[in-house]
Amino acid sequence: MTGLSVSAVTIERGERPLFAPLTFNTDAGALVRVTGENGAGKTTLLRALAGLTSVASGSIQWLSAPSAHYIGAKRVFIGHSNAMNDSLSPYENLAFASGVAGKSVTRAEVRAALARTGVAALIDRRVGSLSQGQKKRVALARLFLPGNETAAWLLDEPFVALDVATQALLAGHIEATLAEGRIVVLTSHQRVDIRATNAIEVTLSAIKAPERLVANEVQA
Amino acid sequence: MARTEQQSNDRFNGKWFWRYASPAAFYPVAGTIEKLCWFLAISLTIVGLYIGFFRAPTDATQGEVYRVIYIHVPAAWMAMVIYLAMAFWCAIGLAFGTRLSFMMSHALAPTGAIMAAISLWTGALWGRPTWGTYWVWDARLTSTLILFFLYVGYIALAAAFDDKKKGDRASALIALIGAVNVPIIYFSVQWWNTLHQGASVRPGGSSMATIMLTAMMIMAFAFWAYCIAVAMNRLRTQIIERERSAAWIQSSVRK
Amino acid sequence: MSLRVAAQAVFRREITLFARRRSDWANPLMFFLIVTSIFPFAVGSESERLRLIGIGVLFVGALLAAMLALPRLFDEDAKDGSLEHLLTSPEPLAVLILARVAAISLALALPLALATPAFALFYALPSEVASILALTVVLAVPTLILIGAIASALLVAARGGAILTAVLVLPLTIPTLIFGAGAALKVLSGESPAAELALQAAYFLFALALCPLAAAAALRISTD
Repeated sequence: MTGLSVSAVTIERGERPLFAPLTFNTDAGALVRVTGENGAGKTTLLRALAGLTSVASGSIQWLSAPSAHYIGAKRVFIGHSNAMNDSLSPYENLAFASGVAGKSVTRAEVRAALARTGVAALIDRRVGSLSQGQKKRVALARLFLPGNETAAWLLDEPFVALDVATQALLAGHIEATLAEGRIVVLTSHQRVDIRATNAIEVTLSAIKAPERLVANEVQA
Repeated sequence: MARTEQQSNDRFNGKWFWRYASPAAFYPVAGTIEKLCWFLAISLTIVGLYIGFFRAPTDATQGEVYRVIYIHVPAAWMAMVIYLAMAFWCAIGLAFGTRLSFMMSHALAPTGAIMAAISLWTGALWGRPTWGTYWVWDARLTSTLILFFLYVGYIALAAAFDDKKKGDRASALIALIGAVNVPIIYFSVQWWNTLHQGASVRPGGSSMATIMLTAMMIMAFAFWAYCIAVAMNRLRTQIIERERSAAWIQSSVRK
Repeated sequence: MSLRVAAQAVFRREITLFARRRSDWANPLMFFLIVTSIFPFAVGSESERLRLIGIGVLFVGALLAAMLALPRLFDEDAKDGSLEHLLTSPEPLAVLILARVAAISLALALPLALATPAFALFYALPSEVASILALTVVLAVPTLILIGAIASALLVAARGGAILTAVLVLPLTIPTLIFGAGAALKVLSGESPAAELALQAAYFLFALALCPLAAAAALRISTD
């Protein structure tokens, strides 16, 4: 069980802060919706949570109970791009993604993961020949690769390019993973219903001029 | 007793020695250094060139042509010294994240490149009457040419980033890689030169009259002062450009 | 254990890509062939003259051909987002980069080195010179890819990548050029190339030790 503590975080792009210092805390099994206008830094915040971008000040801490088997707070980040090579098949892409993280997977495990988003039949097609929606579904299948130690899902606009049925399917998967104690941080312009007992909304306000240092709202 | 994994970036709060690492604090200091160095550069150049051109005797073997060493040798030295200084500031910048170090390195680079170019140019001018050709693949000339490429690479890389901060760190890394490689390149060029039987005449020669040496040393100091003055000037311009949104600029920079 | 899994995953993916997209290694080879075959038009076809420039042309040609593969290192991955897998991996990034460099070097150095003795026929070079040249190309190509890894990692986030890569990489390949071509020249004049080969190998080992770490740092800087 892993909690997340974000305290007074600022992130800079081109020597300018994106948003006012951000602070929020969550326990295991919490849903964090990140909202804000375009350019407020939603994607950058997710990348920082994934460890892809460094913070200018403040700290991001993944807290884990001492008794738990701790191997670093493993996070799965799915960004705007699907992070797949067009010349490879979904199987090869997913096996690579898992392998690079240090865990080899069997073909059956990849097929099972693809089945969770309904694209098991595409396992050997070239990714380049798939539609946008199919690519997104293959990319999302990364969430279901073996790895019980995964502490958090970081999803940047996961519902884009998905049809309504698949959106509902994904929402169901998110509810299930929350129930298993993972943290889910997501940005979305679509208002997809996700039932969560523990949900917070983090609103980022873009800084346009230095004097507009207003505090970010965090609503429970 | 939770285990934590964190990113944090507030390392240097409240340490006195970081005071001058802040562009705001260093800006006026740089101005003073600049003025002092301009004064030194101009007066030393006058003295050095006077001794070199009017007091030092004509060289027995090379005639008047040898007098180019009063420009050539200091320029060649500065080309090397400035690269080392640049690499030093880049290392400091990467290690401690101080913006001023990167600015210092950016301020030095064009001067270093110009020094390498001057040394190549004057070397060619000296080579024409002495070797009978403008360019010889002499080990020193060749190494200076490669050093010039390293400067060009650094400057081009720093300019290729829209995000200044990234450009700072990226160009600093390449400067360090270059600095590590410079001795290897020098050695390999030396090796190549002996393999291919290069020219062995060098500017200056081994036995220099004391007065020639005096003039050359004075010119070397003049070049030092000039390089520092120009670098400080460029540094101040950069500080203003990069910190233009900061409040201190409004109050302390009037003109 | 998991480090080996990760390095293998990187290596296998690159080899799969090379096997699937043959142009990735065939185009550099084609470039090498064309570059080496147009030089005689500029300098004349007397075999004495060709023998003099042949070593240099072949060696530089092979290096320039290998340069063409540098965008394969990180550019494509940065565009499609796959780079995130390397960057978020818990395993050391330098090792993953080394695995990728190894795969690309293998897929590139081998064809270029095999082609070198054949193209040496254009320049009337004796067979013992041609074979030592192939050996030095085998050492030079991975050295160039290692150095190139730093430059391409830095240029992932910059403008004007291709030309700037050449400006940054080629000066640093001068030592391997000097020692590699020098070894072949020694053989041409009937001497032992041992010293040059040892120095070229030393520069390769130096690059092998340093470049993956520097490239990892570079990648962190440019993707931050």
